[in-house]
Amino acid sequence: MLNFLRTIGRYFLAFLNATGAFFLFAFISVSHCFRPPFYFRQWGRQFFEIGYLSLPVVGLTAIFTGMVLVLQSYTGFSRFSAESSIATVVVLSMTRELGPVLAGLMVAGRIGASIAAEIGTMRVTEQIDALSTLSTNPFKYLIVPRLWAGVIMLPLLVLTADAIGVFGGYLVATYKLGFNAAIYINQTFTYLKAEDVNSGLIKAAVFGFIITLSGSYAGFNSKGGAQGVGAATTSAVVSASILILICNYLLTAILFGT
Amino acid sequence: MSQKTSSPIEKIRLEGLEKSFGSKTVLTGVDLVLNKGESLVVIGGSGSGKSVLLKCILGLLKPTSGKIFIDGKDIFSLSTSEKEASISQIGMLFQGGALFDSLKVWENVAFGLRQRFGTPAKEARDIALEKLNAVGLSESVADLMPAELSGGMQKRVGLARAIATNPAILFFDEPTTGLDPIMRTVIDSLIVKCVKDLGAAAITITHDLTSAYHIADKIAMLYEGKIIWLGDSKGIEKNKNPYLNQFIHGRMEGPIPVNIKS
Repeated sequence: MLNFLRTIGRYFLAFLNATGAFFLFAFISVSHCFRPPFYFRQWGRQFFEIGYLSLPVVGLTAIFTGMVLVLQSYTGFSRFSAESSIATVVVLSMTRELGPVLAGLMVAGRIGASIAAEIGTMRVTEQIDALSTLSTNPFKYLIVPRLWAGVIMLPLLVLTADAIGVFGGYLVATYKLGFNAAIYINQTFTYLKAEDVNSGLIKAAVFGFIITLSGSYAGFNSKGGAQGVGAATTSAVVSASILILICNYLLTAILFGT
Repeated sequence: MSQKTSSPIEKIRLEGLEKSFGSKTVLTGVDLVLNKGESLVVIGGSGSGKSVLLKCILGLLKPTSGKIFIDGKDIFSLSTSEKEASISQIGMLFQGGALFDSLKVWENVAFGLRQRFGTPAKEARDIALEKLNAVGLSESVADLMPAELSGGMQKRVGLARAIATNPAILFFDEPTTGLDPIMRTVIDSLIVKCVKDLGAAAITITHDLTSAYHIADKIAMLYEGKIIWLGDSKGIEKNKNPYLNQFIHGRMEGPIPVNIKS
Protein backbone atom coordinates (compact mmCIF):
# COMPACT_ATOMS: atom_id res chain seq x y z
CA MET A 1 0.00 0.00 0.00
CA LEU A 2 2.73 2.40 1.03
CA ASN A 3 4.67 1.50 -2.09
CA PHE A 4 1.64 2.19 -4.21
CA LEU A 5 1.20 5.64 -2.65
CA ARG A 6 4.89 6.32 -3.05
CA THR A 7 4.66 5.57 -6.76
CA ILE A 8 1.66 7.86 -7.17
CA GLY A 9 3.46 10.57 -5.24
CA ARG A 10 6.57 10.22 -7.36
CA TYR A 11 4.62 10.51 -10.60
CA PHE A 12 2.64 13.44 -9.26
CA LEU A 13 5.80 15.28 -8.22
CA ALA A 14 7.41 14.55 -11.59
CA PHE A 15 4.30 15.90 -13.28
CA LEU A 16 4.37 19.09 -11.21
CA ASN A 17 8.07 19.43 -11.89
CA ALA A 18 7.59 19.11 -15.64
CA THR A 19 4.63 21.51 -15.67
CA GLY A 20 6.59 24.07 -13.69
CA ALA A 21 9.59 23.75 -15.99
CA PHE A 22 7.34 24.19 -19.05
CA PHE A 23 5.67 27.33 -17.70
CA LEU A 24 8.99 28.78 -16.60
CA PHE A 25 10.35 28.15 -20.09
CA ALA A 26 7.23 29.77 -21.61
CA PHE A 27 7.61 32.79 -19.34
CA ILE A 28 11.30 33.29 -20.18
CA SER A 29 10.61 32.84 -23.90
CA VAL A 30 7.76 35.34 -23.95
CA SER A 31 9.76 37.88 -21.95
CA HIS A 32 12.50 37.69 -24.59
CA CYS A 33 9.92 38.23 -27.35
CA PHE A 34 9.64 41.92 -26.51
CA ARG A 35 13.25 42.78 -25.71
CA PRO A 36 15.87 43.60 -28.33
CA PRO A 37 18.11 42.58 -30.00
CA PHE A 38 15.86 41.00 -32.64
CA TYR A 39 17.40 38.68 -35.21
CA PHE A 40 15.25 39.59 -38.19
CA ARG A 41 17.09 37.32 -40.60
CA GLN A 42 16.10 34.40 -38.43
CA TRP A 43 12.55 35.76 -38.30
CA GLY A 44 12.42 35.82 -42.09
CA ARG A 45 13.62 32.24 -42.31
CA GLN A 46 11.01 31.04 -39.81
CA PHE A 47 8.17 33.02 -41.40
CA PHE A 48 9.03 31.39 -44.69
CA GLU A 49 9.35 27.91 -43.22
CA ILE A 50 6.32 27.98 -40.92
CA GLY A 51 4.05 30.05 -43.13
CA TYR A 52 4.86 29.54 -46.77
CA LEU A 53 6.13 25.96 -46.72
CA SER A 54 3.10 24.80 -44.72
CA LEU A 55 0.70 26.06 -47.39
CA PRO A 56 0.49 22.82 -49.46
CA VAL A 57 -0.26 20.63 -46.44
CA VAL A 58 -2.79 23.03 -44.98
CA GLY A 59 -4.37 23.73 -48.37
CA LEU A 60 -4.84 20.05 -49.16
CA THR A 61 -6.33 19.38 -45.74
CA ALA A 62 -8.71 22.32 -46.16
CA ILE A 63 -9.95 21.51 -49.64
CA PHE A 64 -10.78 17.90 -48.82
CA THR A 65 -12.39 18.88 -45.54
CA GLY A 66 -14.64 21.39 -47.34
CA MET A 67 -15.52 18.81 -49.98
CA VAL A 68 -16.40 16.06 -47.55
CA LEU A 69 -18.33 18.50 -45.38
CA VAL A 70 -20.71 19.23 -48.25
CA LEU A 71 -21.27 15.55 -49.00
CA GLN A 72 -21.93 14.67 -45.36
CA SER A 73 -24.21 17.58 -44.61
CA TYR A 74 -26.10 16.96 -47.85
CA THR A 75 -26.82 13.39 -46.72
CA GLY A 76 -28.31 14.67 -43.50
CA PHE A 77 -29.99 17.88 -44.61
CA SER A 78 -31.69 16.42 -47.68
CA ARG A 79 -33.68 14.14 -45.37
CA PHE A 80 -35.65 17.12 -44.10
CA SER A 81 -35.33 19.33 -47.18
CA ALA A 82 -32.86 21.77 -45.66
CA GLU A 83 -30.36 21.75 -48.52
CA SER A 84 -30.34 25.53 -48.55
CA SER A 85 -28.49 25.54 -45.20
CA ILE A 86 -25.55 23.53 -46.46
CA ALA A 87 -23.50 26.53 -47.60
CA THR A 88 -23.94 28.19 -44.19
CA VAL A 89 -23.01 25.03 -42.34
CA VAL A 90 -19.88 24.60 -44.42
CA VAL A 91 -18.62 28.14 -44.01
CA LEU A 92 -19.35 28.29 -40.28
CA SER A 93 -17.72 24.92 -39.56
CA MET A 94 -14.68 25.84 -41.59
CA THR A 95 -14.07 29.29 -40.12
CA ARG A 96 -15.05 28.62 -36.52
CA GLU A 97 -13.73 25.14 -36.00
CA LEU A 98 -12.24 22.96 -38.69
CA GLY A 99 -9.96 25.54 -40.28
CA PRO A 100 -8.02 26.39 -37.14
CA VAL A 101 -8.07 22.92 -35.55
CA LEU A 102 -7.10 20.93 -38.63
CA ALA A 103 -4.52 23.47 -39.78
CA GLY A 104 -3.20 23.53 -36.19
CA LEU A 105 -2.87 19.76 -36.03
CA MET A 106 -1.24 19.52 -39.45
CA VAL A 107 1.23 22.28 -38.63
CA ALA A 108 1.89 20.66 -35.24
CA GLY A 109 3.02 17.54 -37.09
CA ARG A 110 5.05 19.40 -39.65
CA ILE A 111 6.53 22.33 -37.76
CA GLY A 112 6.46 21.12 -34.15
CA ALA A 113 8.51 18.11 -35.18
CA SER A 114 10.99 20.04 -37.26
CA ILE A 115 11.53 22.68 -34.57
CA ALA A 116 12.11 20.01 -31.93
CA ALA A 117 14.49 18.08 -34.19
CA GLU A 118 16.48 21.13 -35.23
CA ILE A 119 16.83 22.70 -31.79
CA GLY A 120 17.34 19.25 -30.25
CA THR A 121 20.22 18.49 -32.61
CA MET A 122 21.71 21.88 -31.84
CA ARG A 123 21.47 21.04 -28.13
CA VAL A 124 23.16 17.64 -28.36
CA THR A 125 25.92 18.89 -30.69
CA GLU A 126 26.60 21.80 -28.28
CA GLN A 127 25.60 24.43 -30.86
CA ILE A 128 23.33 26.08 -28.28
CA ASP A 129 26.25 26.32 -25.85
CA ALA A 130 28.34 27.72 -28.69
CA LEU A 131 25.74 30.46 -29.26
CA SER A 132 26.07 31.55 -25.64
CA THR A 133 29.87 31.68 -25.84
CA LEU A 134 29.56 33.87 -28.96
CA SER A 135 27.60 36.58 -27.14
CA THR A 136 24.22 35.43 -28.45
CA ASN A 137 21.24 34.59 -26.31
CA PRO A 138 19.81 31.28 -27.58
CA PHE A 139 16.28 32.29 -26.60
CA LYS A 140 16.44 35.42 -28.71
CA TYR A 141 18.23 33.77 -31.61
CA LEU A 142 16.39 30.45 -31.79
CA ILE A 143 13.09 30.62 -29.95
CA VAL A 144 11.77 34.18 -30.34
CA PRO A 145 11.75 34.06 -34.18
CA ARG A 146 9.85 30.78 -34.11
CA LEU A 147 7.27 31.99 -31.59
CA TRP A 148 6.55 35.16 -33.56
CA ALA A 149 6.37 33.21 -36.80
CA GLY A 150 3.87 30.79 -35.23
CA VAL A 151 1.66 33.50 -33.75
CA ILE A 152 1.61 35.57 -36.95
CA MET A 153 1.67 32.94 -39.68
CA LEU A 154 -0.88 30.49 -38.28
CA PRO A 155 -3.80 32.98 -38.55
CA LEU A 156 -2.74 33.75 -42.12
CA LEU A 157 -2.60 30.03 -42.90
CA VAL A 158 -6.02 29.52 -41.35
CA LEU A 159 -7.47 32.41 -43.36
CA THR A 160 -6.18 30.73 -46.50
CA ALA A 161 -7.51 27.37 -45.31
CA ASP A 162 -10.96 28.91 -44.71
CA ALA A 163 -11.09 30.22 -48.27
CA ILE A 164 -9.81 26.99 -49.79
CA GLY A 165 -12.19 24.87 -47.70
CA VAL A 166 -15.21 26.93 -48.70
CA PHE A 167 -14.06 26.72 -52.30
CA GLY A 168 -13.79 22.93 -52.04
CA GLY A 169 -17.34 22.80 -50.74
CA TYR A 170 -18.48 25.03 -53.57
CA LEU A 171 -16.90 22.73 -56.16
CA VAL A 172 -18.63 19.62 -54.84
CA ALA A 173 -21.95 21.40 -54.33
CA THR A 174 -22.12 22.88 -57.82
CA TYR A 175 -20.47 20.21 -59.95
CA LYS A 176 -21.50 17.05 -58.13
CA LEU A 177 -24.75 17.92 -56.39
CA GLY A 178 -26.05 20.37 -58.96
CA PHE A 179 -26.46 23.47 -56.78
CA ASN A 180 -26.81 26.82 -58.52
CA ALA A 181 -23.45 28.57 -58.22
CA ALA A 182 -24.78 32.08 -57.59
CA ILE A 183 -27.24 30.94 -54.95
CA TYR A 184 -24.61 28.81 -53.18
CA ILE A 185 -22.20 31.73 -52.99
CA ASN A 186 -24.94 34.03 -51.82
CA GLN A 187 -25.93 31.59 -49.07
CA THR A 188 -22.34 31.22 -48.02
CA PHE A 189 -22.03 34.88 -47.15
CA THR A 190 -25.57 35.70 -45.96
CA TYR A 191 -25.19 34.37 -42.42
CA LEU A 192 -21.41 34.70 -42.07
CA LYS A 193 -20.36 37.31 -39.51
CA ALA A 194 -16.94 38.83 -38.93
CA GLU A 195 -16.78 37.26 -35.46
CA ASP A 196 -16.98 33.77 -37.00
CA VAL A 197 -13.77 34.37 -38.90
CA ASN A 198 -12.16 36.33 -36.08
CA SER A 199 -12.78 33.66 -33.46
CA GLY A 200 -11.03 31.17 -35.77
CA LEU A 201 -8.10 33.51 -36.21
CA ILE A 202 -7.73 34.01 -32.45
CA LYS A 203 -7.65 30.24 -32.04
CA ALA A 204 -5.06 30.02 -34.80
CA ALA A 205 -2.75 32.50 -33.09
CA VAL A 206 -2.98 30.57 -29.81
CA PHE A 207 -2.33 27.28 -31.62
CA GLY A 208 0.66 28.82 -33.40
CA PHE A 209 2.09 29.79 -30.02
CA ILE A 210 1.43 26.31 -28.58
CA ILE A 211 3.06 24.51 -31.54
CA THR A 212 6.23 26.58 -31.65
CA LEU A 213 6.58 26.67 -27.87
CA SER A 214 6.16 22.88 -27.50
CA GLY A 215 8.68 22.25 -30.26
CA SER A 216 11.19 24.69 -28.78
CA TYR A 217 10.76 23.36 -25.26
CA ALA A 218 11.19 19.73 -26.27
CA GLY A 219 14.21 20.50 -28.44
CA PHE A 220 15.86 22.82 -25.94
CA ASN A 221 15.68 20.22 -23.17
CA SER A 222 16.56 17.17 -25.23
CA LYS A 223 19.55 15.15 -24.19
CA GLY A 224 21.49 12.08 -25.15
CA GLY A 225 22.18 11.96 -28.86
CA ALA A 226 19.95 10.72 -31.65
CA GLN A 227 17.59 8.87 -29.35
CA GLY A 228 17.05 11.98 -27.23
CA VAL A 229 16.26 14.05 -30.30
CA GLY A 230 13.78 11.40 -31.45
CA ALA A 231 12.05 11.43 -28.07
CA ALA A 232 11.96 15.22 -28.12
CA THR A 233 10.33 15.23 -31.55
CA THR A 234 7.63 12.79 -30.45
CA SER A 235 6.92 14.66 -27.26
CA ALA A 236 6.71 17.98 -29.14
CA VAL A 237 4.07 16.69 -31.56
CA VAL A 238 2.06 14.82 -28.95
CA SER A 239 2.00 17.61 -26.41
CA ALA A 240 1.23 20.25 -29.04
CA SER A 241 -1.69 18.20 -30.41
CA ILE A 242 -3.18 17.55 -26.99
CA LEU A 243 -2.77 21.16 -25.90
CA ILE A 244 -4.42 22.31 -29.14
CA LEU A 245 -7.47 20.13 -28.51
CA ILE A 246 -7.76 21.25 -24.88
CA CYS A 247 -7.27 24.93 -25.69
CA ASN A 248 -9.73 24.61 -28.57
CA TYR A 249 -12.48 23.68 -26.15
CA LEU A 250 -11.53 26.38 -23.66
CA LEU A 251 -11.34 29.06 -26.34
CA THR A 252 -14.63 27.99 -27.89
CA ALA A 253 -16.28 28.16 -24.47
CA ILE A 254 -14.86 31.64 -23.88
CA LEU A 255 -15.58 32.98 -27.36
CA PHE A 256 -19.03 31.37 -27.39
CA GLY A 257 -20.19 33.62 -24.63
CA THR A 258 -19.44 36.82 -26.50
CA MET B 1 47.29 47.45 -16.03
CA SER B 2 49.60 48.83 -13.39
CA GLN B 3 51.16 45.50 -12.59
CA LYS B 4 54.66 44.82 -13.80
CA THR B 5 55.01 42.36 -16.61
CA SER B 6 57.20 40.17 -14.47
CA SER B 7 54.45 39.44 -11.96
CA PRO B 8 51.80 37.13 -13.37
CA ILE B 9 48.41 38.65 -14.12
CA GLU B 10 45.62 36.48 -12.85
CA LYS B 11 42.86 35.80 -15.40
CA ILE B 12 40.78 33.11 -13.76
CA ARG B 13 40.55 31.94 -10.18
CA LEU B 14 38.28 29.17 -8.94
CA GLU B 15 37.57 28.74 -5.25
CA GLY B 16 35.91 25.63 -3.89
CA LEU B 17 33.88 25.06 -7.03
CA GLU B 18 31.24 22.38 -6.51
CA LYS B 19 28.65 21.09 -8.91
CA SER B 20 26.13 18.34 -8.51
CA PHE B 21 23.32 17.09 -10.69
CA GLY B 22 20.56 15.86 -8.42
CA SER B 23 22.25 13.46 -6.03
CA LYS B 24 25.27 12.96 -8.28
CA THR B 25 28.21 15.14 -7.36
CA VAL B 26 30.59 15.87 -10.20
CA LEU B 27 32.87 18.59 -8.84
CA THR B 28 33.70 18.44 -5.15
CA GLY B 29 35.69 21.59 -4.57
CA VAL B 30 38.00 22.72 -7.35
CA ASP B 31 40.58 25.41 -6.62
CA LEU B 32 42.54 26.69 -9.57
CA VAL B 33 44.41 29.78 -10.74
CA LEU B 34 45.15 30.59 -14.35
CA ASN B 35 47.50 33.43 -15.25
CA LYS B 36 47.82 35.44 -18.42
CA GLY B 37 49.89 33.72 -21.09
CA GLU B 38 49.68 30.39 -19.31
CA SER B 39 48.52 27.19 -20.95
CA LEU B 40 46.97 24.72 -18.56
CA VAL B 41 45.92 21.24 -19.54
CA VAL B 42 43.40 19.43 -17.38
CA ILE B 43 43.61 15.67 -17.69
CA GLY B 44 41.34 13.07 -16.15
CA GLY B 45 39.29 10.05 -17.03
CA SER B 46 36.00 10.14 -18.86
CA GLY B 47 33.27 11.44 -16.59
CA SER B 48 35.69 13.07 -14.17
CA GLY B 49 33.96 16.43 -14.64
CA LYS B 50 36.37 18.13 -17.04
CA SER B 51 33.68 19.45 -19.37
CA VAL B 52 31.48 20.45 -16.44
CA LEU B 53 34.38 22.52 -15.11
CA LEU B 54 34.64 24.52 -18.33
CA LYS B 55 30.87 24.89 -18.62
CA CYS B 56 30.68 26.32 -15.11
CA ILE B 57 33.26 28.97 -15.96
CA LEU B 58 31.44 29.77 -19.20
CA GLY B 59 28.21 30.31 -17.29
CA LEU B 60 26.49 27.47 -19.16
CA LEU B 61 26.05 25.60 -15.89
CA LYS B 62 25.45 27.13 -12.50
CA PRO B 63 27.78 25.75 -9.85
CA THR B 64 26.18 24.40 -6.68
CA SER B 65 28.64 26.39 -4.61
CA GLY B 66 32.02 28.04 -4.84
CA LYS B 67 33.32 31.16 -6.51
CA ILE B 68 34.61 32.02 -9.97
CA PHE B 69 36.76 35.10 -10.50
CA ILE B 70 37.54 36.44 -13.96
CA ASP B 71 40.05 39.31 -13.93
CA GLY B 72 39.70 39.35 -10.17
CA LYS B 73 35.95 39.92 -10.26
CA ASP B 74 33.56 37.44 -8.70
CA ILE B 75 31.24 36.81 -11.66
CA PHE B 76 28.27 35.87 -9.50
CA SER B 77 28.31 39.27 -7.80
CA LEU B 78 28.24 41.13 -11.13
CA SER B 79 25.18 42.37 -12.97
CA THR B 80 23.99 40.29 -15.92
CA SER B 81 25.57 42.58 -18.51
CA GLU B 82 28.90 42.82 -16.64
CA LYS B 83 28.91 39.06 -16.27
CA GLU B 84 28.25 38.62 -19.98
CA ALA B 85 31.09 41.03 -20.77
CA SER B 86 33.46 39.03 -18.54
CA ILE B 87 32.48 35.73 -20.08
CA SER B 88 32.50 37.04 -23.66
CA GLN B 89 36.29 37.37 -23.51
CA ILE B 90 36.51 33.58 -23.49
CA GLY B 91 36.82 31.80 -26.83
CA MET B 92 35.77 28.17 -26.80
CA LEU B 93 36.52 25.27 -29.11
CA PHE B 94 33.88 22.60 -28.58
CA GLN B 95 34.55 18.90 -28.72
CA GLY B 96 32.57 18.24 -31.90
CA GLY B 97 33.31 21.68 -33.30
CA ALA B 98 29.68 22.74 -32.66
CA LEU B 99 29.63 24.68 -35.92
CA PHE B 100 26.24 26.13 -36.85
CA ASP B 101 25.21 23.86 -39.68
CA SER B 102 22.76 26.35 -41.17
CA LEU B 103 25.51 28.93 -41.72
CA LYS B 104 28.42 28.99 -44.14
CA VAL B 105 31.95 28.47 -42.88
CA TRP B 106 32.88 32.15 -42.97
CA GLU B 107 29.60 33.12 -41.28
CA ASN B 108 30.45 30.67 -38.52
CA VAL B 109 33.87 32.23 -38.01
CA ALA B 110 32.48 35.77 -38.19
CA PHE B 111 29.53 35.02 -35.90
CA GLY B 112 31.09 36.30 -32.68
CA LEU B 113 32.40 39.45 -34.36
CA ARG B 114 29.01 40.31 -35.79
CA GLN B 115 27.12 39.55 -32.59
CA ARG B 116 29.48 41.12 -30.13
CA PHE B 117 30.86 44.10 -31.99
CA GLY B 118 28.29 44.47 -34.78
CA THR B 119 31.07 44.31 -37.36
CA PRO B 120 29.69 44.93 -40.87
CA ALA B 121 29.44 41.83 -43.05
CA LYS B 122 32.22 42.72 -45.48
CA GLU B 123 34.76 43.55 -42.80
CA ALA B 124 33.75 40.50 -40.75
CA ARG B 125 34.26 38.31 -43.83
CA ASP B 126 37.78 39.70 -44.30
CA ILE B 127 38.64 38.95 -40.68
CA ALA B 128 37.10 35.49 -41.03
CA LEU B 129 39.25 34.76 -44.08
CA GLU B 130 42.33 35.93 -42.22
CA LYS B 131 41.50 33.66 -39.27
CA LEU B 132 40.82 30.74 -41.60
CA ASN B 133 44.22 31.37 -43.08
CA ALA B 134 45.78 31.34 -39.62
CA VAL B 135 44.46 27.80 -39.09
CA GLY B 136 45.69 26.68 -42.49
CA LEU B 137 42.45 26.80 -44.45
CA SER B 138 42.23 28.51 -47.82
CA GLU B 139 39.59 30.96 -49.00
CA SER B 140 37.91 28.24 -51.02
CA VAL B 141 36.30 26.70 -47.92
CA ALA B 142 34.78 30.01 -46.77
CA ASP B 143 31.57 29.60 -48.75
CA LEU B 144 31.06 25.90 -48.04
CA MET B 145 28.64 24.57 -45.45
CA PRO B 146 30.19 22.90 -42.36
CA ALA B 147 28.72 19.51 -43.33
CA GLU B 148 30.84 19.53 -46.48
CA LEU B 149 34.09 19.55 -44.47
CA SER B 150 36.06 16.67 -42.98
CA GLY B 151 36.34 16.26 -39.22
CA GLY B 152 39.79 17.81 -39.05
CA MET B 153 38.71 20.78 -41.13
CA GLN B 154 35.64 21.30 -38.94
CA LYS B 155 37.90 21.37 -35.89
CA ARG B 156 40.06 23.99 -37.57
CA VAL B 157 37.02 26.10 -38.46
CA GLY B 158 35.93 25.76 -34.83
CA LEU B 159 39.36 26.96 -33.79
CA ALA B 160 39.17 29.90 -36.20
CA ARG B 161 35.78 30.79 -34.73
CA ALA B 162 37.14 30.58 -31.19
CA ILE B 163 40.00 32.99 -31.93
CA ALA B 164 38.02 35.34 -34.23
CA THR B 165 37.37 37.98 -31.58
CA ASN B 166 40.95 37.81 -30.27
CA PRO B 167 39.83 36.52 -26.87
CA ALA B 168 41.98 36.90 -23.78
CA ILE B 169 41.07 33.42 -22.60
CA LEU B 170 40.75 30.25 -24.69
CA PHE B 171 39.12 26.95 -23.77
CA PHE B 172 39.64 23.76 -25.74
CA ASP B 173 37.39 20.78 -25.07
CA GLU B 174 39.11 17.58 -26.21
CA PRO B 175 40.52 19.25 -29.33
CA THR B 176 42.12 16.13 -30.79
CA THR B 177 39.47 13.50 -30.07
CA GLY B 178 38.51 11.56 -33.18
CA LEU B 179 41.31 12.84 -35.39
CA ASP B 180 44.10 10.95 -37.10
CA PRO B 181 47.62 11.21 -35.58
CA ILE B 182 48.89 13.72 -38.12
CA MET B 183 45.85 15.95 -37.79
CA ARG B 184 46.28 15.77 -34.01
CA THR B 185 49.75 17.22 -34.31
CA VAL B 186 48.42 19.89 -36.68
CA ILE B 187 45.68 20.91 -34.22
CA ASP B 188 48.10 20.82 -31.26
CA SER B 189 50.56 23.06 -33.08
CA LEU B 190 47.78 25.43 -34.10
CA ILE B 191 46.59 25.67 -30.51
CA VAL B 192 50.11 26.43 -29.29
CA LYS B 193 50.51 29.04 -32.02
CA CYS B 194 47.13 30.69 -31.43
CA VAL B 195 47.60 30.87 -27.68
CA LYS B 196 51.06 32.39 -28.15
CA ASP B 197 49.95 34.87 -30.84
CA LEU B 198 47.06 36.13 -28.74
CA GLY B 199 49.04 36.04 -25.51
CA ALA B 200 45.94 34.36 -24.12
CA ALA B 201 45.42 32.22 -21.07
CA ALA B 202 44.29 28.77 -22.12
CA ILE B 203 42.65 25.76 -20.54
CA THR B 204 42.61 22.55 -22.54
CA ILE B 205 40.85 19.44 -21.37
CA THR B 206 41.92 16.18 -22.88
CA HIS B 207 42.86 12.63 -22.12
CA ASP B 208 45.26 12.56 -25.04
CA LEU B 209 48.62 12.75 -23.27
CA THR B 210 50.71 13.36 -26.37
CA SER B 211 48.73 16.46 -27.02
CA ALA B 212 48.81 17.41 -23.34
CA TYR B 213 52.64 17.41 -23.34
CA HIS B 214 52.62 19.40 -26.56
CA ILE B 215 50.22 22.11 -25.42
CA ALA B 216 50.77 22.44 -21.70
CA ASP B 217 52.89 24.69 -19.53
CA LYS B 218 51.14 23.19 -16.55
CA ILE B 219 49.11 20.05 -16.13
CA ALA B 220 46.32 19.48 -13.63
CA MET B 221 44.75 16.14 -12.97
CA LEU B 222 41.07 15.99 -12.09
CA TYR B 223 39.94 12.94 -10.18
CA GLU B 224 36.64 12.44 -8.35
CA GLY B 225 35.76 16.09 -8.73
CA LYS B 226 38.97 17.48 -7.27
CA ILE B 227 42.31 18.56 -8.63
CA ILE B 228 44.59 15.97 -7.11
CA TRP B 229 47.79 17.04 -8.82
CA LEU B 230 49.00 20.26 -10.42
CA GLY B 231 52.45 20.89 -11.75
CA ASP B 232 54.86 21.51 -14.54
CA SER B 233 54.39 19.39 -17.64
CA LYS B 234 58.13 18.62 -17.79
CA GLY B 235 59.17 15.44 -16.04
CA ILE B 236 55.60 14.37 -15.43
CA GLU B 237 56.34 10.84 -16.66
CA LYS B 238 58.65 10.28 -13.71
CA ASN B 239 56.26 11.72 -11.14
CA LYS B 240 55.61 9.46 -8.16
CA ASN B 241 52.00 10.47 -7.49
CA PRO B 242 50.27 7.09 -7.75
CA TYR B 243 47.08 8.42 -9.38
CA LEU B 244 48.96 10.51 -11.92
CA ASN B 245 51.39 7.71 -12.58
CA GLN B 246 48.66 5.18 -13.22
CA PHE B 247 46.74 7.56 -15.48
CA ILE B 248 49.57 8.72 -17.70
CA HIS B 249 50.87 5.22 -18.17
CA GLY B 250 47.40 3.82 -18.69
CA ARG B 251 47.85 0.99 -16.16
CA MET B 252 44.93 -1.05 -14.94
CA GLU B 253 46.58 -1.60 -11.53
CA GLY B 254 46.70 1.29 -9.13
CA PRO B 255 44.58 3.47 -6.88
CA ILE B 256 42.09 4.39 -9.65
CA PRO B 257 39.51 1.60 -9.80
CA VAL B 258 38.73 0.26 -13.25
CA ASN B 259 35.04 -0.33 -13.72
CA ILE B 260 34.95 -3.28 -16.03
CA LYS B 261 32.80 -6.28 -15.31
CA SER B 262 34.80 -9.43 -15.96
